[in-house]
Amino acid sequence: MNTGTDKSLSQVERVGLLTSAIELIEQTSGLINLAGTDNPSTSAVPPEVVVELDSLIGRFSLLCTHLLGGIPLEKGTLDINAERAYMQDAWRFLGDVKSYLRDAA
Amino acid sequence: MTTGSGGPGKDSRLRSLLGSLRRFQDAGAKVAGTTTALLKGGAVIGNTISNEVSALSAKSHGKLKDYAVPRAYVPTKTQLDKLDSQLAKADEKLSLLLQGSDYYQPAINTLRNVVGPSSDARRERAHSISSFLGASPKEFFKYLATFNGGTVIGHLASENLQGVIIPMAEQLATMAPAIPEPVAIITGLLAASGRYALRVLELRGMERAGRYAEVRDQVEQRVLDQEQFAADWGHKFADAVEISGKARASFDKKYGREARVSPEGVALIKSMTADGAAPLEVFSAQSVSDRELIGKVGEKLQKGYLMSVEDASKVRLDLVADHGGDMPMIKRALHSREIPVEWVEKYGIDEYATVMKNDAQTSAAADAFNSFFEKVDSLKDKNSAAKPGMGP
Repeated sequence: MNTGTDKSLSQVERVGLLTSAIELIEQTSGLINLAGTDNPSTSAVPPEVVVELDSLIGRFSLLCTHLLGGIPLEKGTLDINAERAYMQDAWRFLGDVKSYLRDAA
Repeated sequence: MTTGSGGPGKDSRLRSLLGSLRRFQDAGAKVAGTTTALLKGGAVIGNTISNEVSALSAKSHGKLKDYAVPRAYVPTKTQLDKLDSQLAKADEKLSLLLQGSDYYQPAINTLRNVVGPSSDARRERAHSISSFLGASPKEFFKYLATFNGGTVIGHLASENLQGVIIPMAEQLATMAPAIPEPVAIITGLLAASGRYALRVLELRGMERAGRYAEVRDQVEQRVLDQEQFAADWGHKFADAVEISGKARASFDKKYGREARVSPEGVALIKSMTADGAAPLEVFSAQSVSDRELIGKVGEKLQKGYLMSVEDASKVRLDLVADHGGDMPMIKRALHSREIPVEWVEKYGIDEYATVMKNDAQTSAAADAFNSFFEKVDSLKDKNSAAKPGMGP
């Protein structure tokens, strides 16, 4: 896709994206706590969901690190539109996990 | 654990959840590109970040038991002063390293614009940012602190330091071969944001502590409104009674409305202290119930803040008298370690322990910084020699 890269981000857009990613991380972290994933035998969600939630935190944390300048890119660029779309997918997934936990309670 | 209804409904919900999981995984597979490539090499980073974010998030919700264990805390002022000074040096070194770099200046400018160089500037900036982001300054600080605190303090104050910085530097070197001193740059960036995170966490805690009474009043007003609604409309809306009951229970649990030192006890402290009575004598003159409450404050000061028996004996009385016996407020501040800023000077309570967990971790961070600074200096010297035009 050639519809937007991190290098063309304005500071406002960068901070906005960063904040959204951080919020996503925090919400995910909250859900992990809620689901009690420390012990798989008593966790309220299946293990594969736990794995995906953990990986989601790792992935978006890395995006944050990149947006803060921790990992600048020389070769290639980050497709910001694809990242935004994926973030939307993540929010939907979190919404589904939340609904599941609420219904199960 | 799931405690709800089982059977077909449960199976259906589970199927739906797993369907959602598959859709999300498919979406992830389609997001090819640099972030995913970086992530593959950064599992260790993601994992550490995940752990630290979880810990901080738990702390912000009051669920992390470690933070409620007094022995986890020791006086950290000296250690933190040392760390803060090291972080300031890191910031300075970072500025030097950034000179002439096309890659880092925009990023660090963003960070500094967001957080700001001083307390006042941070507040001001937070207000202006929140106006277009739609988040309150407090929430925005929380996000920043969660991220920065989780990724930076967590990294630096742990044995995983080299496991985090070195892989990040290696990735940086792979992605941007022309960048000089990747280890120094990563260390500097993390250190700079760590420094901000420390300040942000401290500021956030103190602001919250300062607004405790105001927030409690607001919450109680909402509970009273709910109770009024339940009284007026409970016959029509069965849920209203249950909801208001839960709200009251939650309020009482959190703010402990009933547990206060009696006005007589407060008056007795004031009068006997004014007459020059010894703290132990004042304490002994209290009623049994008041003595129990005041005694808990003293225990917390001794065990949680390592105050001497003599000091704690006096400070517990001062705290109770100065705050009208408002035990919920006093206990909450001491327990959460988010103490109002004026308590530091007035009562000699160490506020620095609001941020770091223990001495060992802080020492590890400070030592690690020293070690990295040596490398940074060495790399910087090499860089200066190679590029005579660069430098302070």
